[in-house]
Amino acid sequence: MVVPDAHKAPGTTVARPGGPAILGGFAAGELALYAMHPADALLAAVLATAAAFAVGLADDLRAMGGWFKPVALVAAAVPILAIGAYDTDLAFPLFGEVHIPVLYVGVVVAMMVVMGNTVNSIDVLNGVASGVMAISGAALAAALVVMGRHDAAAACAPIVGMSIALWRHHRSPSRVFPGDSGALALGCMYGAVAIHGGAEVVAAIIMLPAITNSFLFLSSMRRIIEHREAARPTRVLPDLRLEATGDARAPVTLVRLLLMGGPMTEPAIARAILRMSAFSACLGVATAAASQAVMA
Amino acid sequence: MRHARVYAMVVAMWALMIAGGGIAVNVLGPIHAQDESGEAAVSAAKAAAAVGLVVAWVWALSRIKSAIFSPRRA
Repeated sequence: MVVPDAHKAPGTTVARPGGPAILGGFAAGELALYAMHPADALLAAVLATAAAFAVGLADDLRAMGGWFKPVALVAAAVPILAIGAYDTDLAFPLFGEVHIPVLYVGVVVAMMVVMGNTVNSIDVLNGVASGVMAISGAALAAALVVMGRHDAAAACAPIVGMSIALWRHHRSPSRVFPGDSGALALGCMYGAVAIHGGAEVVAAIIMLPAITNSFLFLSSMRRIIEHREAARPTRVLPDLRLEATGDARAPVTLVRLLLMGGPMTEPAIARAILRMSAFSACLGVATAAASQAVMA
Repeated sequence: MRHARVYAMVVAMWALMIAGGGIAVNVLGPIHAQDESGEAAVSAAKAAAAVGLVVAWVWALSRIKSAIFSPRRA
């Protein structure tokens, strides 16, 4: 299947979805790890990612309403809860842990729904979702090493390797788009590994640019809708640079804020988002390191 | 820096997450019931407080967003 690339010359089409390759790459890596060191959490991560992929594939094949993905992504939490691949202590950096045996079920569900949808919401430009995931996966691995969770850090390796491989084909000019199946799978595999490592808050800090984008979108629209249902926050100029529109009905997004200073090319905006992702990655790893030092 | 205000938003979110964690661990965490029958009520109260924290977090973030990106500062 091919779809138009909205930020390129008219008639430019790109293959979509890359979700099957993303799921296959991640599953192959995690199952190889499982063969060497059997851990239920690795199987749970693969099954959770497969569930998110299935939700996204349904949306790829037939455009669903705005509520479909947030609600259906609860299915991605089911394998983790059913296998019991989680700890019931929620760690807050610098302050310690709280024991929440019942409430942690909600944390698992929230983690999968939020991570899946935030990565999906930032998949708007060539190379951004794949680049953000490569940076975030590497930062989560580093944070988990700092926290002494080497087993969970190893589980990040397939995320990083697969994201870099995807980025080579996804960067501008894209030859493949992840699609909803790929973006939701990327977010949920990250969330599942963060739960495995007990690094939920640190993982959220690392992913702050994507979370900021989702927050800006929701706070400006004040309801859950699909991007395609909202007015466009940007327009493409004849020289193919992007410019923010003044449309008050359009959502506020990270890209729209980055364009406040004037028009930019798509690769320049992507680089700005990846620099921001690297910044929050450093913030997350530094927070994990500071937390370890305080708790020692 | 050209995009300093967007970075400021990210740092504000980070600070709110850390502060929220501090409240959860130091205020909500130590609350326990006297007996086992009261534990469910305490858990429900903690859950309500956690939801309240999230609502307050979103409200504070909205105010910070408005302050950072207000037209007067643009």
